[in-house]
Amino acid sequence: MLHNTKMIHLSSSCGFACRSGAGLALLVFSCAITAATVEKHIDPETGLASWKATHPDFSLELIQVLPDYIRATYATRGLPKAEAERIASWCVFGTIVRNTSDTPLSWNLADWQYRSADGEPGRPKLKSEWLAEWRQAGIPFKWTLLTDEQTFQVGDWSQGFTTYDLQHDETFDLTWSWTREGKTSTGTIEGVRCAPDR
Amino acid sequence: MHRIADTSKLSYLLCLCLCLSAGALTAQPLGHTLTRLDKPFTPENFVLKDLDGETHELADYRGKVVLVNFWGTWCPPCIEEMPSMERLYQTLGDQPFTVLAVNQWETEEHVFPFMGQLEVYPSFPILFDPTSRIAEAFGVKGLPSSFILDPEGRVVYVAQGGRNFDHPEVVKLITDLLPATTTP
Repeated sequence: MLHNTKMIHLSSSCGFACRSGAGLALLVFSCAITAATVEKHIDPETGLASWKATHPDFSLELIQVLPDYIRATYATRGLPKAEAERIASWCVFGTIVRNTSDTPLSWNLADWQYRSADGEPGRPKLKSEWLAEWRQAGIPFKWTLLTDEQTFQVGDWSQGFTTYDLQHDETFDLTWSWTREGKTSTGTIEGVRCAPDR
Repeated sequence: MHRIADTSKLSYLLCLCLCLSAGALTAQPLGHTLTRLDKPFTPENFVLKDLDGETHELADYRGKVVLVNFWGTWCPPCIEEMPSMERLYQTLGDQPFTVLAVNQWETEEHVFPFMGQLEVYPSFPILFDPTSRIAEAFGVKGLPSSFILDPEGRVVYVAQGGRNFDHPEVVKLITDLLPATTTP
């Protein structure tokens, strides 16, 4: 079920062009080639939401993941119960990132930022940070989380969990970025909601 | 003891169902673009066991084109692309070509029942890299990741993320790598 579709934040060059009051034709053209659209989707079977931001360069999809799924994923791969519970207590999304441009590009999760509904800023916890903690606890498992950063060739994409220090059911805005041909662009998905704990 | 086993099995089935439903949620046509490396490299040799306990050494495949694919059962695009790898394997079955699907972290007991759930049961070797040492040696950052080796054992094409491996353009670039005398 397609819940809604809206234009959201533009990449940086377009935002500047719009604010600077450039000619209308230029503005429309510029925005048309750099705007990202966000579609929210509700799975009719599970009731879980997903958000897909589509941009000519780079697309990002966030899919709500229930804590039970996180517990099952990690418990069946040997993580101690306490550790599976700990990561299940975080706000976790299945995350898909994709190079939709015709050149290589790079992205770095450490550059992404979120702002919670009460205005608190933060950034996703990185895979390397989780792995460092797991290594200290003697847990060598290293998959399922989205890698910290990557350079994508044409057609490349990746998927994995991203984790946010937010409560279940909490709402936030996520600003994400990527760099292509030396230029860094950003987009924002507003009103993303962490999965409920049910 | 039985209770623990049952719980583990239930968790696995829950995980499997959710994994497949997550895959359905995000299903979209797989691309077929592979990146040709400007500087091909020779990866570290490996010896890994398959589902039957037989060992496979990468060096033994010298003279063949090899698609080395890193995957896991929890990874929806890994499962989505696997039928296309099987079709590719069947299409080029009489050529010096093979697919080696290298599972990450899991065990035969985990993977074997999973394979029965697939749309097409793979007939190419499913290998086990339980510590992910081989994936690290290849520089894998996420699953699935694929590497195409030429008959000299050099990685010449790479792909990060799921692909449609029996797309005509992929079939062509692989057949172009085959030794000249065997090209159909």
